[in-house]
Amino acid sequence: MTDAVSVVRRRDQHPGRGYWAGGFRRLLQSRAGVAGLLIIAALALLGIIGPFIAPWDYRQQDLQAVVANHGPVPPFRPEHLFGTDELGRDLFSRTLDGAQVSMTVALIAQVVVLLVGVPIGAVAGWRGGRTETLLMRFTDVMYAFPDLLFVILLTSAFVGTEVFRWLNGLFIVFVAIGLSAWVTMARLVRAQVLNIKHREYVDAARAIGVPGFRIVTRHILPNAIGPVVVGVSVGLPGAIILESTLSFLGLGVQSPRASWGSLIQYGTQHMTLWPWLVVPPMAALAISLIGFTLLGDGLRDAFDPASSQRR
Amino acid sequence: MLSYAIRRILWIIPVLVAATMITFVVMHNTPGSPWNREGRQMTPSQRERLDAKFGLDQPLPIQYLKWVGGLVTGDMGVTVTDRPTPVSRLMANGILPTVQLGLMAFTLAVLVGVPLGLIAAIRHRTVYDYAATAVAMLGMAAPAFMLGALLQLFLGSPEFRPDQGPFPSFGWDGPRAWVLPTIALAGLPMATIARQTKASMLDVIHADYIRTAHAKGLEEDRIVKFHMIRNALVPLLTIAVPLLGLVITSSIVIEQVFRIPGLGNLYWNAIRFRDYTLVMGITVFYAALVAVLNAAVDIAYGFIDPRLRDHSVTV
Repeated sequence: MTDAVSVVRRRDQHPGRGYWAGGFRRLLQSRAGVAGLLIIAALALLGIIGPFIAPWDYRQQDLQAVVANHGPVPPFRPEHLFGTDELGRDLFSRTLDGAQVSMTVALIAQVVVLLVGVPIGAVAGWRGGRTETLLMRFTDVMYAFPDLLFVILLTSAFVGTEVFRWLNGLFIVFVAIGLSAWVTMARLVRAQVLNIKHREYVDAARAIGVPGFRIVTRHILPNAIGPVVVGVSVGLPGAIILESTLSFLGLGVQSPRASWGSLIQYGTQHMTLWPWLVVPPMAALAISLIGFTLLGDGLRDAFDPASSQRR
Repeated sequence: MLSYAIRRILWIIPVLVAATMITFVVMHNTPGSPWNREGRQMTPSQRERLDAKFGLDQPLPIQYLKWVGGLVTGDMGVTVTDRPTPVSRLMANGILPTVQLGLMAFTLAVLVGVPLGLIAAIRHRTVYDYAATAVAMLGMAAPAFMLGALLQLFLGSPEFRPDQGPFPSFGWDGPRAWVLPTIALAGLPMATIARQTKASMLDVIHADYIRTAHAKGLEEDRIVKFHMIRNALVPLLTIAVPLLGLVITSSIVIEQVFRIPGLGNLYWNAIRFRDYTLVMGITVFYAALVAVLNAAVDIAYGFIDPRLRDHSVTV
């Protein structure tokens, strides 16, 4: 008897451990998943250590080189691997800074999505009744607001203000993307909670008097984690696309910080004279999106097998 | 069923109210005014006169209600500019390029994406599959603005170098100018459709009824055509219709890249110059479009699967 209790305790101390390990093992078995994981890990690493390995500061202007070249430095010079822009800023270092910007935006936007979407979806699904109706009507209304319209409206409405310049424009991008993307997460979590809340183990927990908050956080949400992981992995590249699009249009990340979107915008403007400028940011953006797509496929196979049996 | 359909259609109204209200509040509560375009000096009295002329001096709720009242009677108001123009006239000019671009891009995405997905699934794990999957992956890798810039670089000819490429880089004059923006806008939905088609086709291929069909000795051609493809395309409808809405709203970006005089371009400028009535008019159009498409999907699924009537939408 005591043995049985201690076994239960021990399991309880490591909730979901087997689940994560199993999911991770399945992820490592899929070639797409491993490839995606490697690409994203490499990019995240570059984002973190970028400032230390970059040959130049992303803001620093090598004006001597610009004067000597009568314009931006072309690529494959010993001091500037990818060349520089008109102001003499090293393109390699700026692309590295773009990696940091993109990874940060993707991560923080998803944190906002989780912080807003999961509680709303969980409360709506668990409480039901009038609370659910109210919350989900609000969610449905926001769901119908076209994302791009909302994000452009929010960011451009703040152009020229102090808010717009916070963190070189990153702040407004976090807020805009987070506020437009939480809706999908809330709907997803609610559907999961509705699905799980009538399972026997939830009834059992309720029967022994576990309070509602604890049931939701300890018994329901851990079992809904698969689709949530997949939802986040789909949201990450979505956030990067939105951020680079905004920055391309001049609404996102502001100079001197570099975003792949704003670097591409600068490059396309000077395409006829200095065509090399678009290559590094475009390649970086494409590689990161391929990485996230592969990782998303791998995670879906590993954590949400129901939605894709054979692929 | 009829009552469900009616409730679902009526649900469009609060959606529109919320979308316009959010837009209204954001526009009016952020700094900036229609009267300070670059380099313009204006005395406070001039400003007051203009505000009074356009009703901007009234309380915000009154302004909003007046605007709604106009909309209900079919009057979208005039633009808040020096030369007030009816919003409906401006929008009528802009809708055609936007909708045309969206529909062409969506058609292209379906015409390319579905066959790609089918090939990848039917020839699973062959060279054909890998080629088709690689094309879809490229579509995922290039956001619309980047694909647009690349097309302009390799196939476009800007005004100052007319003979650089076979297609104009900018504008919307004639079919040759339509080519590049359409391809640029079609890239991502093409990839989405191809991946979805492949996934649902692979599900169908391993279904029991397909094994039955094989066991009965039906011809392979017949099985693929009548048993697999038909069933695989049903889940595709779920993503296709919202995707159409997404494609049409995404044209805002493409219209900027290719300088197309459509609604997206109008919206862009209207926000920058705080042209309140024009922003509201365009918001209504886009939001109504998306809301109607979503309602159409829900109602169609209500017909197919009655259980969804109670759960899919909280009406």
